[in-house]
Amino acid sequence: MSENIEFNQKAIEDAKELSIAYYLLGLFIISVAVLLGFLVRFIQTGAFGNAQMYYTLMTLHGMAAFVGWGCFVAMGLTWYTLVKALDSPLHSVTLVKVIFWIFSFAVALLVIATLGGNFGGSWVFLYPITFYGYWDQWAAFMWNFAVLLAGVAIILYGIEILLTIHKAGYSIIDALGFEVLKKDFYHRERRVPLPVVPLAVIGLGMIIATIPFAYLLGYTLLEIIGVVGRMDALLAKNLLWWFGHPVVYLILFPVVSFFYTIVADYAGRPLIGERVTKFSWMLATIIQNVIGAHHVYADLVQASWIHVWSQFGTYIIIIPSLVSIFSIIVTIYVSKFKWNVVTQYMFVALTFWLLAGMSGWVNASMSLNIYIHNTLWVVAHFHTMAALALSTMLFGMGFYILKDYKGIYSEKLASQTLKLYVIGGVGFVHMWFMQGIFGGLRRTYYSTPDSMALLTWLSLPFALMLTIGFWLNAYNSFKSVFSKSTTEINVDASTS
Amino acid sequence: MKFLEQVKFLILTLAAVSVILLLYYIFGVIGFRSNFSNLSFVFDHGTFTWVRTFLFVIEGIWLIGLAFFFYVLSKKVTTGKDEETIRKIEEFEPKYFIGVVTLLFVLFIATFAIPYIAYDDGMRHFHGDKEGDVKIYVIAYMFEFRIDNSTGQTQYQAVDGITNTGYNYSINMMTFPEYNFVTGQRYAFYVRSLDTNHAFGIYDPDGKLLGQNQIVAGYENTFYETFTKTGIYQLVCMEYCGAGHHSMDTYFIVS
Repeated sequence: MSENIEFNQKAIEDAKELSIAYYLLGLFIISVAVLLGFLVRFIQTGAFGNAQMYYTLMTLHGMAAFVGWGCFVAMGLTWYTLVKALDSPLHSVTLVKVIFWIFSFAVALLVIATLGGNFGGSWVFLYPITFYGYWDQWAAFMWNFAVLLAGVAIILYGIEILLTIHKAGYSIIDALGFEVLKKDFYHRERRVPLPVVPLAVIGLGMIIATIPFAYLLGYTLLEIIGVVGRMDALLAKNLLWWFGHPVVYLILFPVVSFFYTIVADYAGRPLIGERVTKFSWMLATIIQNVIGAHHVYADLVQASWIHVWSQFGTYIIIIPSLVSIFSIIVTIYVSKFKWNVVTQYMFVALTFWLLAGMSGWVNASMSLNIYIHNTLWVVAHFHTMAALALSTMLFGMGFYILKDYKGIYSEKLASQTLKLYVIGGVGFVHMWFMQGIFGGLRRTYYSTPDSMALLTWLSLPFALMLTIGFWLNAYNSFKSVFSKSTTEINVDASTS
Repeated sequence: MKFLEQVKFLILTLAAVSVILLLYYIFGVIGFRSNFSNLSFVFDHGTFTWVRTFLFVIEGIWLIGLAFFFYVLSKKVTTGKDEETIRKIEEFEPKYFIGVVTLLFVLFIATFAIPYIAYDDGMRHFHGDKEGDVKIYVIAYMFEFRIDNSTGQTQYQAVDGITNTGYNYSINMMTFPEYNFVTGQRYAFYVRSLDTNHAFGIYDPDGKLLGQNQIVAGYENTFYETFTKTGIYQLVCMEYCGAGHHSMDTYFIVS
């Protein structure tokens, strides 16, 4: 028995190190991505740069931000969360390391394709733009190949999650939320730990989402070397968004799992409303892969029933978020919750999550979407979700693990950075919301219409604050792991 | 070497390479420009339509909600309720779930069904041809819009697949400013792309986005609009289509 406990403790420590490794490389990549984001915003003022530079850096910014947060930080922090919740080792530590190196190689290729080959098709590189750009075709090939590699690693990530759950002795079907259908739900000897459920859902979801997208990428590669002819552009769009929407969940669902982990830990009790929450995750399992077409509401050539379904399905996928937010808030409310820097980040993330949902609802509704599609409103919504809600939670989860590793280098710095980050973030995204409301276009070299330029200038100080906030948190995290004086005592942990 | 040490080495290497590449890229591609953009503010070119007002309300709620949550955070609200209260909250959660589903259903009806039924004021761009429509055949290519005055049956061929700039548009083409649009007439735009995907977005004289349609390459994409105001309208490509995307716009006059 004690051997088993020791074994599991070692598994948790191994997973922690893996998570920290992913987290640190992710932080580095995202720090560069944020700097690029500041640069492209600056270029939009018209004072600096040129069109090719804008579009190329915009492309690298978008993809680096996704890879940094999604493939390294969110996925990386998954390993520790999974092992801790299951109290069982990973299925294969080697596979987790292989996934890490595949992503690393893909990142190197993406950087070369953009900065070396000038690829600038935007991070969604909407087919067939690959063939109509100012970039070299070798760069287009390298870009598509790199994304394909990342796709393979994402599939492996999904497989590893499901196999780890299976190895721990749980049914994968149960872990996908279907456990709530069992009549003896409340009397089961071992229920699937709640933090595992969103991870199982995204594990399966990404396998289903990535394979068709990998087909599109493979086809594009063959087309570049002249083996096949042109693919139907609408089909290609649907293949892209079949993957492109669930990939947002690749960050969001692990983040929800982190919420469950942290709230239960600091509340000292399980999350309230386990059955309803799992039921909503069951809905997410069913629906998550078939709503991506809401990204093509403005493609009126698409069959109308797909539009209608997409809006209906998108409304259903809101349910797990609203139920989870409720459960988290009431759990905090009824417990003797321990407040520290980790829970500060968590609570700010919770706030932005709720509010990002409001602007997302506008996007999700066809009759409103038609007025804001392709405008900066969409960019504002996405950054509220990714750069504010998800990022603050990922930082929170990162600090949560670091606290448990060698301690946080400076909790005071982390707390002050949060304030800087929030002010910068709110100011930054609201300039975009304003521009979007007035029809300001996204992905344009200069502010379009011209009258948007003032708001672009006004956003720069806030963007700078956000950038500095990122860098400070990255610095704090690196120092926490690699500094020789990483023995700082977690004051609030010992007092709480 | 331990995995974390390997990662440290990787990050340091990547950092050095990134700095060199970025500096090389920035100073290799460009210089500074001196033509600062127009710094006028947005309110001078638009009116507060109901959509904009509604979106501002959403934004207002957003900010008030944010302030409220930060207030709660500052108070660090926790109560340590007894088990009986917790049990009652647990029992309430299924009702909350039903409430959420009901709310979403009502919103679905409000944002989809009602605008769809309200034909002219709602999702008019989704409706098909009507008798009396004036058909406008449009071709879009990097980075221009043109009106085709032939029947719309012409097969357009790219002349130069390398530069993607030379097209055989000698047949009966005209620019948008050359066409006379009138108020009260319903126009059916049939839009095709000669190269990659674009998007067809029209702004009215007040700068209000009337609507948009993606121009999916290889498809005939339709867009319906009845202009109610006279003045100068802007036609803008709204989908990123390459290095000249920002310059792919034109205008037309409605009299």
